[in-house]
Amino acid sequence: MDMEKQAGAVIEVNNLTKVFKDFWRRPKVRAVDGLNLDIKKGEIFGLLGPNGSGKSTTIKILLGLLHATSGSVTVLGRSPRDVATKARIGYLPEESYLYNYLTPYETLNFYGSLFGLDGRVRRERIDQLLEMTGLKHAAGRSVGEFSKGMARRVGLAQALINDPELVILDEPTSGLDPVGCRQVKDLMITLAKRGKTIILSSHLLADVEDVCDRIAILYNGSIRAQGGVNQLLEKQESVRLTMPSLPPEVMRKVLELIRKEVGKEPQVDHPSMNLEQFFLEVVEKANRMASQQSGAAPTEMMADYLKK
Amino acid sequence: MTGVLAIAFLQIRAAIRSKLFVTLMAVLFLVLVGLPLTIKGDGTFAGQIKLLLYYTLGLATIILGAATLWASSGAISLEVESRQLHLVAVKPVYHFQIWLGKFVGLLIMNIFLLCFTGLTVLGLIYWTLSFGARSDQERKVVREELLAGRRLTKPQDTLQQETRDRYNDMVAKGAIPADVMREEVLMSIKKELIADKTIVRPSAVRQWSMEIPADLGFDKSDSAGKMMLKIQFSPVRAGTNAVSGKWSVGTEEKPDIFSTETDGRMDGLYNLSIPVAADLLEAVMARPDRKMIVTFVNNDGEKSKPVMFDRINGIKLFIWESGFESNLFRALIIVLCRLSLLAAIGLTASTLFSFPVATFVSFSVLLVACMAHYFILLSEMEGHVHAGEEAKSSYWEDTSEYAMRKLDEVFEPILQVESVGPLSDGILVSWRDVGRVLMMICFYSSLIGGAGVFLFRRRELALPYT
Repeated sequence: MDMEKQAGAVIEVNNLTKVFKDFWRRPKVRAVDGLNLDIKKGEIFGLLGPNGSGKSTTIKILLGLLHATSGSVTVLGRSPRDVATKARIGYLPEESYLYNYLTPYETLNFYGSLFGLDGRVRRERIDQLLEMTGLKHAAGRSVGEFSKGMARRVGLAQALINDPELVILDEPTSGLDPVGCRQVKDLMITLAKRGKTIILSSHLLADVEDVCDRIAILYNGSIRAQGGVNQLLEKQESVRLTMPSLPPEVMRKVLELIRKEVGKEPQVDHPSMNLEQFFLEVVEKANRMASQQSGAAPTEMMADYLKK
Repeated sequence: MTGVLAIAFLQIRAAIRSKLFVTLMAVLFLVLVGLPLTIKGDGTFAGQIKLLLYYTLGLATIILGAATLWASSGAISLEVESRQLHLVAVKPVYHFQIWLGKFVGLLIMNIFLLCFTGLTVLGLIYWTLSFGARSDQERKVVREELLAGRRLTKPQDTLQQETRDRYNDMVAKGAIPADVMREEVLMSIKKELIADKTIVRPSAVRQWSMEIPADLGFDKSDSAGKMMLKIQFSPVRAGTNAVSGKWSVGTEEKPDIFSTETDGRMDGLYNLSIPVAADLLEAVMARPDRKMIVTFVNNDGEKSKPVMFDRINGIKLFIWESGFESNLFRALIIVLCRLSLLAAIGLTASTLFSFPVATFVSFSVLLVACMAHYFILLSEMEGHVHAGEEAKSSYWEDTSEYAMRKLDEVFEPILQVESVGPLSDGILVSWRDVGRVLMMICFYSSLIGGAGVFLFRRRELALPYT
């Protein structure tokens, strides 16, 4: 614990290797190979990589669901298999492995009980989470009847029921509509501001780019690139200027000056709104006019206990 | 504890929402109500009630046992396969809490289902007693002999001791030739003694001594119908003989406080019921050793022939101890204990294997456990057939017999305590029996559960091929 405070490290992975073996204990696949990671408190850390690159295996080792073949893993200053560590983690798996016969309320109540939350606190948090994920009106329906996106919202809610210090999200926006995606991204940013650490594994590079402070790109079980998002993506050799529309004469003079001073042809275009922003505006307008919902209701509300 | 209860209630909820619970209740109801309609019995009302109790409760136990083994075999393995357990395992719960939660869930479900079974059986019995076209005498017999918890007392079996005493006596007198093996002599003495004990020749007298327990479960002044002596005997050659004998029951000083004559032609077994009246009971209880003496005199005469008694079950004394409802309750607790053991076996298999494999392993363990006792009996019988010959057995035979003996030693203490059989015979299922089974089940379930949790802790839940 002291080490964690001193270094601010929430996760320390040194030379982690995971080899899957067959029934006869013969090595079959080397899923993770000599991985080193150091994730600090309050960071949003993105794990990227193609299918089979070792992202999920790494996450499962961090959660104690798999055992490392070699190397060391420390999560919140302890072994990932320690029950005290698990009390401080929230996890959303790549598929929402929920009990189909439970309602969202019962699901959250069950997971809340596993965290030993007091009945009153549990009820309050469940209400806020259902409100936040837009599932309040569907709280009495079985999860089995839900669309993938709605089940994903329940999965997200269960990952936050314990107000975790470390949130591990595996493809959190998969199956969500753009409103839900934006909401999840905003949630991650808010949690990080509160000092929570977030690990995000996703194939949606735009999502990762939007929210992550640092990323690691895995390939064949090893890290091929690691660092701050801006630092990795920035093109030091070029500059972009954004300014109000210029009269043609002024524009011609500016371009002439650049050609003369730099000696290269500059590129000129109009900045455009991205599709996500446009979609959100349309839905927000429609939402103001609609009175009834059957699916998840768009909401900007954030659970109170997650804001504190 | 909160975690254990949360997992237990989740297990119950799963059974209710998946309709397993309702289906089991419907099947049990059909069996409990439908089976008595197909039972014929021996034509007597007592026989009908006895079979009703034995078959309905027996079949309900088998159904619940199979359902418990099946449900427990899938309780953990199916959640590992569907990965639902990933979300539970990453929460702050120990592996033993997951195992225990599942176990408690199955236990609670079995308690509900056994309560349902017990209440249905009680309802059926009361309905049959009230609305069947039977005489008052038949109803009285059923109430006194079947719908009760009666302690069974038998004369002390001294065969082993008498065999040893006679052998030692012969050794002391030098009556055994040096070339005869000890086992052969013992066997011969034993056979002779068994013949003496089971056959009463014409003009011979045979006595049995039985101790009446001090703590009777009823008031001595209100002993009517509470104690019954049951004697079972047969002529040596059935069909061609008649038995003429006198039975007396009393104490050493007054052996004929009660006496009755049997006289007539008999085919097969003859059952004689002698109610122990208040004056007889008082005389026996007044003695410090509370010994009751039963005497049979095989009257000599033209029509009298040798009479044969079963050495173990020839003379039985039934003493009322409790009502039927409490006896049924205790019998169901023993059934519950056995179901719990099945749940422990299934859950442990479930921590290690996939659902089909876990089910197969659990059923195999149960089958082998039940068969072990019969294998031992069989091997002992074969031993007798070949007595005197040089024993020839392969290494494999020796090993398998050793394994079976060990298995039998483990499971026999649990399997030997029967509850449905005695209940349907109106025999007491005592709290001592319940306590013994409870202790054994706790011990075995902890042992099996401990092994299950150990394996579960070592298992990687998120392996790609699970």
